[in-house]
Amino acid sequence: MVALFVAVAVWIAGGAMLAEPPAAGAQATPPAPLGHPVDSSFLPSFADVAGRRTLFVLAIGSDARPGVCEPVERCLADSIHLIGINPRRGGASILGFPRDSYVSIPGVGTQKINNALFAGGPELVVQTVEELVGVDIDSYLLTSFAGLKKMVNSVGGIQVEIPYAMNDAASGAVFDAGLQELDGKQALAFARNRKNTPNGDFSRSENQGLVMLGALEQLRKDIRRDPFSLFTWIVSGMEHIQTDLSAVELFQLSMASLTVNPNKVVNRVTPGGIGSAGGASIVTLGGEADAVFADIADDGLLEP
Amino acid sequence: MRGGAHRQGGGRSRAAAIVLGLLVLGAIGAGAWWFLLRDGAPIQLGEPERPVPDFSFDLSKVNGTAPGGDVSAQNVEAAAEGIRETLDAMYVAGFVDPAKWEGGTFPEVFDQFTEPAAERASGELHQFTLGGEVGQVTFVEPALGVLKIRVLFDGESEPVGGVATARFVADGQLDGGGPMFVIHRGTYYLQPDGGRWMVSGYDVEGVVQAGERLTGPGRAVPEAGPTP
Repeated sequence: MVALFVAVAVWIAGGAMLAEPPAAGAQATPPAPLGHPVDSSFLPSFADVAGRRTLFVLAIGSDARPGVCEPVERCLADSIHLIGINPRRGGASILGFPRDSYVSIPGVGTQKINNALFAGGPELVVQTVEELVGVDIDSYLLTSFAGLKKMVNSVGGIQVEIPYAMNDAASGAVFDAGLQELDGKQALAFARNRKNTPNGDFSRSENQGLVMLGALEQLRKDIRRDPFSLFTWIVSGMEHIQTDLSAVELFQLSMASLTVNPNKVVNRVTPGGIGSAGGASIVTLGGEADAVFADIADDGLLEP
Repeated sequence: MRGGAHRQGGGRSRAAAIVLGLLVLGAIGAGAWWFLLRDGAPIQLGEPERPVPDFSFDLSKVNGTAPGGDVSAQNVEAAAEGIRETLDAMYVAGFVDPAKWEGGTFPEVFDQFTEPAAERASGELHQFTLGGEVGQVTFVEPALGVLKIRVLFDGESEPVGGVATARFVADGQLDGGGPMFVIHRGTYYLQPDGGRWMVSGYDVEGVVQAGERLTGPGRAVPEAGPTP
């Protein structure tokens, strides 16, 4: 019996010894050393948030000012830009319309395009541009002089590439050429200057596009430095922009806009000639403008 | 006769002793198996199985923002808790709980992503998990897990989106007994979806590495990168 107990004890102890893990370094062929770096980023693109179809957004700047014209959606449109986004090709374009462009405004007649806002609010501006260019616009963004200033100030200013030196007392635009840090007042002055530019209203419209591109670049820089600043930008937009986008859509499109490289965005102005109608100076849009419209309507992108 | 009967009686008692001995041996063996060797035995031989650490991120900073600036602390807290749950689930499944590694497929990690983000993330498994080397790891013990969260609300106080930065540091052991560590930092963009928060964008960096993680003064905030 004693022998049996001894045998059982040895058997159990043997099992326990077998249950012990092998000592470190005892393996004949050690596995390849574990190790991999972690480094990746992903943001949803416009294709992810809006499908693969081309998006068109209309950016409208109202000349509303306290004591001069109110409310924002019933004044003249000082700037009108059609933004085309092509998710499949990952590109975007900005097409500006000179505010004196003489066009057909649905239900109103042929007038300067800036009158569409006064006549029927942002919805009529959307309808006017849709018929003029031949596109379906997905949403609009409407702001004012004061709104632009506050937005730029709330994000701590933006850097804009000033294409040429300017000194315009009327708008207050006094800048050297080159990349400049602008606060809200300066950004508005740069966007409003048309007198001290090479091509008047055409140059002004192009410069307004540069402000948008400067803002996009600044947003990307801010997010790289501080991801939480995304919401500073979005809240600023929610407070100073009227739009038919929901807050969720604004959040998703803001994220998607971070995937767009501003250097690859084509910024153009609708070409036209100078004329007059009823004693007022106007911009006439002809065949060259039609070709540009067909270009952007095709896939949301403009030829550089 | 008597002597024969005695011999016969002696043979019977020997046989009975052998049977008894075998019974005792069987009983001892069964008892030993029940007490020591079966799954869930009350006494464990060898190295005990390590319990899975109970991991949840600490919230170091939480705030909310909305047009007009009015955000209720209760709404911010609820949204932040939802975001934490999502990121807890992601890091537990990716690093902490071996039962969720599932042979290196980590399915629960990608349940936390929106469809486009999951599509991208599942193609780069090792960015959010122990990766293909998971078979070499026996356990991972978190040493640090900290979140900062900011939540965006709309004008009706409904949560619209969230941004979270995560810092995660863990030490572990390889099956050969050697040490390993994880240093993982992430910025996550999240959106509410069906009552929970889903990761829709990310920016991650760090390292999963065999070896000892450097600690001590000046290393209180671990930097990403392999141990020199």
